Amino acid sequence: MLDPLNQHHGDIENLIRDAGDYVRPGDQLRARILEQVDERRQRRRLWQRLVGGVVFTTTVAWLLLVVGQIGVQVAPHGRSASDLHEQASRRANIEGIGWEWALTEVIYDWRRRPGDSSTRQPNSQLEGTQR
Amino acid sequence: MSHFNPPPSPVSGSPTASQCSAFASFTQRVRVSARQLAELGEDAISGLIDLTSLRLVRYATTITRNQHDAEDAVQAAIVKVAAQPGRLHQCEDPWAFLLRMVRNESLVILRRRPRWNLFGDLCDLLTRCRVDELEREESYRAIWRAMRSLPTQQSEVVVLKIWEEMTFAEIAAVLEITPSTAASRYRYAVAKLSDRLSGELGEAAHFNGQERGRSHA
Repeated sequence: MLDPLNQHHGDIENLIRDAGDYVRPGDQLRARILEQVDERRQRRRLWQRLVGGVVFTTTVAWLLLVVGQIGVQVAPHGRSASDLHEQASRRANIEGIGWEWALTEVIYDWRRRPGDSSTRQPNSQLEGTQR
Repeated sequence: MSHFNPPPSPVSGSPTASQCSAFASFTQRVRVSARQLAELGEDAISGLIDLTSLRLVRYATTITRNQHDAEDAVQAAIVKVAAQPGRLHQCEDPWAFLLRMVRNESLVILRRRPRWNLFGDLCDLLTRCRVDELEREESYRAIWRAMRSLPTQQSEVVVLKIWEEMTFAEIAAVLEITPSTAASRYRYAVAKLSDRLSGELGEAAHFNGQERGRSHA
């Protein structure tokens, strides 16, 4: 035989169980949730685009910097005209010769020096113009 | 987690085998929905809403004591789930995880906007009652009123035990309490409810008697 107290609790539980479906969610709840999910998705995409743009721009700028630096390092560093002028002036003073002649000698010396990559370019340019 | 199992009681109110299997199939459906959400992303969220919103709103309403706040809590929880679709699928028990999320959101809302609710005031509830159950509507309202008169700690145990058909161990996991605490809260709650609903019990017995008489006739 069932304990009357347990029987009573069982009746209460049944009563409460029956009332479970009495409350229902509002008609707008589903639409509201879907709308908010969609809104968040759009906002996230916008952020992704923004962050992507910033990352892309930074990468391109960094690459340009690196490539520029490499270019500067790779470019031939020959003597400049002012170097030759300076040498010619010094030579003219020391040897007591005319400045034009001293410049000619400095240029000859420069061309004669073997293994100096910077001397080749003027030659090749010269050859190109002679042709 | 300890595996506390309450002693089986041979009461007529304990869930039947069909109710247990219905609950198991519901948790399985939630698991499937969580997997779809993880695979398809936010597009699969509507399936989860359709499946769980009624139960979640019902649970949140017992915590917030206001259906509008409860719906806000459910909305916040589901939107968070949609933002990280894989998270629900990774859980051992997605349904318990969802309930815990809704509980946390409800408590946050409750802390942010405390409301003065009068006992017996059910005007915030959106209700439905089938035509054949219209006679019992007053009884349902009395039950909801009695549930609202309970402390939240007790009413949420009642909801999880009776409406969600969870074991005390599962309830304990959702509420982050010990199973024995869950069981004692439930006992106190049912005792209070039986005091407050004694009149309704008589009517329900009368109604059930009539129903039985009709079916025999």
